[in-house]
Amino acid sequence: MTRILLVEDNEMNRDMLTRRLERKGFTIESAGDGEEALKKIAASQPDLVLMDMNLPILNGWATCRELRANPATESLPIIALTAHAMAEDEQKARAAGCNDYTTKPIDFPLLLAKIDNLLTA
Amino acid sequence: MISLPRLTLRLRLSISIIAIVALFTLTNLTYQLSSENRNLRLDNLQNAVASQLATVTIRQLLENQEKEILVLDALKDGGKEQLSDEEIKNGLSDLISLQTEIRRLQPYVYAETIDSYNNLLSGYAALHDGWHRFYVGYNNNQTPSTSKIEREFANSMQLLSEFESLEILAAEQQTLDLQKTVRFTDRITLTIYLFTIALTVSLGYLLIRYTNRSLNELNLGTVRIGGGDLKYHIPVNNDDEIGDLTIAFNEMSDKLSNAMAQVQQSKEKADQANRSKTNFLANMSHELRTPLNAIIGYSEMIIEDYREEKALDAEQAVEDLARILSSGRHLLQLINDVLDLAKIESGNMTVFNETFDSVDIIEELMSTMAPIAKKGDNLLVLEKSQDIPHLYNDAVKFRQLFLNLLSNACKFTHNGKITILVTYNAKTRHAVYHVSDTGIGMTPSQLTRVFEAFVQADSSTSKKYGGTGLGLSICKQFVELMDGSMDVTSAEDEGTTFTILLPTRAPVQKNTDAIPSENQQELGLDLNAPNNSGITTVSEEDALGRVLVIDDDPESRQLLLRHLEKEGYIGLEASDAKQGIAIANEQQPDLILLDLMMPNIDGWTALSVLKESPSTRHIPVILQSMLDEKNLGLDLGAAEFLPKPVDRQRMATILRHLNPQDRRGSALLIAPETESRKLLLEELADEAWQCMVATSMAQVIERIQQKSPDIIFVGLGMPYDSVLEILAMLSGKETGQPTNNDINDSSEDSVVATLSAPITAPIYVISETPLGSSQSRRLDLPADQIISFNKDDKSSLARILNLS
Repeated sequence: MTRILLVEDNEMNRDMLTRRLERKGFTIESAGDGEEALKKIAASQPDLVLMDMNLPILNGWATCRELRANPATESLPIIALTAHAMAEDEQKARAAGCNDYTTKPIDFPLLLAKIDNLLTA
Repeated sequence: MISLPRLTLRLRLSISIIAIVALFTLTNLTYQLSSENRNLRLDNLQNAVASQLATVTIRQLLENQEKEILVLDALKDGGKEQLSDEEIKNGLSDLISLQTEIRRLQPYVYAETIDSYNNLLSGYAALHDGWHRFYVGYNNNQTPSTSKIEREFANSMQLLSEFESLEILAAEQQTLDLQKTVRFTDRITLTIYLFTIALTVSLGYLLIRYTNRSLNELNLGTVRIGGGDLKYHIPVNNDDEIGDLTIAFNEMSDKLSNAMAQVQQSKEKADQANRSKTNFLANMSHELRTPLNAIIGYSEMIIEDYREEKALDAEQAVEDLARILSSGRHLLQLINDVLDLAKIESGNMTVFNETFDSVDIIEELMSTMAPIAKKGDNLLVLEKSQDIPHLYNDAVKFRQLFLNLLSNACKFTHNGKITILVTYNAKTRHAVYHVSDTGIGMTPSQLTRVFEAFVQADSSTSKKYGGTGLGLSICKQFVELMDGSMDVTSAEDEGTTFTILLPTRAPVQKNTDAIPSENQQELGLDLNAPNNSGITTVSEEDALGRVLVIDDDPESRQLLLRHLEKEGYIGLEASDAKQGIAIANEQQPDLILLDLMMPNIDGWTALSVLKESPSTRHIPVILQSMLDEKNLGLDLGAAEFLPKPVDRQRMATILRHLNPQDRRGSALLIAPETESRKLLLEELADEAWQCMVATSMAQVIERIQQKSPDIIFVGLGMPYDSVLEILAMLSGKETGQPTNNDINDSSEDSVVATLSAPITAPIYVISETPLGSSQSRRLDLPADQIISFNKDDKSSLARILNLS
């Protein structure tokens, strides 16, 4: 069973994604901010991380950089979820170390495809 | 005390020139002096030479004379030689000549030789005397002894020699003296001359060097400033013209530096504004997507659920749908807020000023918020320190503003107290409103950002408390548009107080450039009207009718629309005739308000088009103009004429008359029972008007309370003064004393005649015969509200009832 950590501070978004992904057979764990995410990843490394970029306490980009700096999580697949739609956001996400990104509102099939892509790579 | 003058360049130059000229003069003088001395030397020389010559001559003469005498003496001894008289005379004259010659030495005598000279003179005198006696006694042989003469001669020669030597000595001495003097003065002259040259050169050099150095410094300073170092101050070392110039330069560079700083500041402000805008957009993008995400996501999920399961878990579905709904609402609020902000930002937000009672509005809002306050266990209290005068400001914004503040207060307070304190500062003519709560308050850093867009107290606030984060920034902008000010104080966990100051008179309208977008025009809708503030927008069923306003001036259009809304009509608008005609065709309004002064197609043309077209000819058109073109308008088919500036009462009256939906209503006749009254009642009944009659003040009040009339007729035989009284009462003025003006009989009823609220229905004073001009004037009514009516003259009434 593939374990995905969903890092998202908006309750509704979290609820939505969790239920939809669970229905597709993934095991979902969630965190509400960057710090919590790092803790949970350290505790039990998921197979993939879905990270919202706008997080309280520690934002998505910083969390990503942290993960990349740590050799244990250097190659952990991370997909960024951004609400901004400007080109620079993609650059920013990639610069922070994310493998892929998708914008909100989330195109669910596309997200599934990206997850599949990263997990089989 | 005379202060020392500044050592300016001018002074330096002047002093230098004066010094040089002075020295030059001095040189000249000393030169003159030495010249004089030279002349003296020359004289001296001449003197000496002449003296020498003279001495030599005298010697010679003396010698010659002695020789002659010796010869004669010898002759005398030897023979008998007689001198002729002439020879004696000659001899004597020779002696005289000699004497003269010796005397001629006088001028050449020096001070030192004067004694010698005198000796010579006296010595010669003796000799002369001897020789004289010789000549005279020659023939008589009475001559003095020759040896005596010889002795005298030798003495004279000796004296002459002494004199000569002394003369030479003296001459030499004087020459030496003079030479010394000359050499001295020469030296002085030369010295002064050299000194003058040296001084001139030095002064020149110093002056050049000084000005050069100063100018150089100035030059360097200028170059440095020009190179960009605007803060550099050229050192002012000189208290002279160059110093002044330097100071001027420094001042100039200061000014430049200031100007540059200002420009820099403006640029930074502009940059920051730009950054803010970008930031705002980014935030907005995020904020808008978040609820959309929920809406789309949950909808997709429900569809998926249904497709896959073919049935829905009802409980879950309801939950999800509720989320969709609340996200939708949140999104709507966001959009409204953002549009408000955008409008304010682009200067399109208008302020519509009117007189209103702010305390009334606050009380209304408080009752609206009562249930919400109750939910949070909050106590809602209003306090006023005194009677607050009415505000002349934008009531709609006022309401929106306070609704927001109260809503926030309720939101962030639980089990607490929310107080609204209103006071009035008579000096500054401002009303002051404090909205305080005992809620969660804000930290100092939260306080500084309280009015920023999209910034809520912290990121968890929106999760816990909802809201868009835009409300307060909109409030602040509103307050500023209303020419007031807004401030906030707060302490964490202790509560927050917002303080708003509003002038009781708002000045010039700001942001009056509200030109609706093309889309708005197409729809004939006015999107500038408030849409979320609680002011009721008339709904279709409640409306008295739909009125189309065709006016190119946005301000008057707005005004009319507001009036219409207040009167209970739905307003449509068009900004030019073409659009107006199109909308009239499409929307089929009940009435049209047409402005005559418009560009392109003017009012007259529009009127004729509207009256010709079969689809719009039935719609009554009311013309608006500043000029009195009533007759022409009526001739061309207009139904009525409304002069500008618009009188709301007037407009209401006219609309009521013309509105086909509203034609029938109830009429109140205040007149004694006469034939005329009966006639009027018949006419009204024919037109399906409901009629009421009243004959006394008391009855009038009673009738009005029973049913509010749509039209009132007064007169028809009533005494003039009674008519005045009734008019006064109907317009809401208290008549004060108990009145009994039943015209037909005197009853004992004494009623204090006042109405609870002034009548808005149109009042017509109706008489059988036309009133005189002074009587008409005293009634204080517009001319067309004073009509005459009798069995032969029903036209005015007909017009009123719109039978034409």
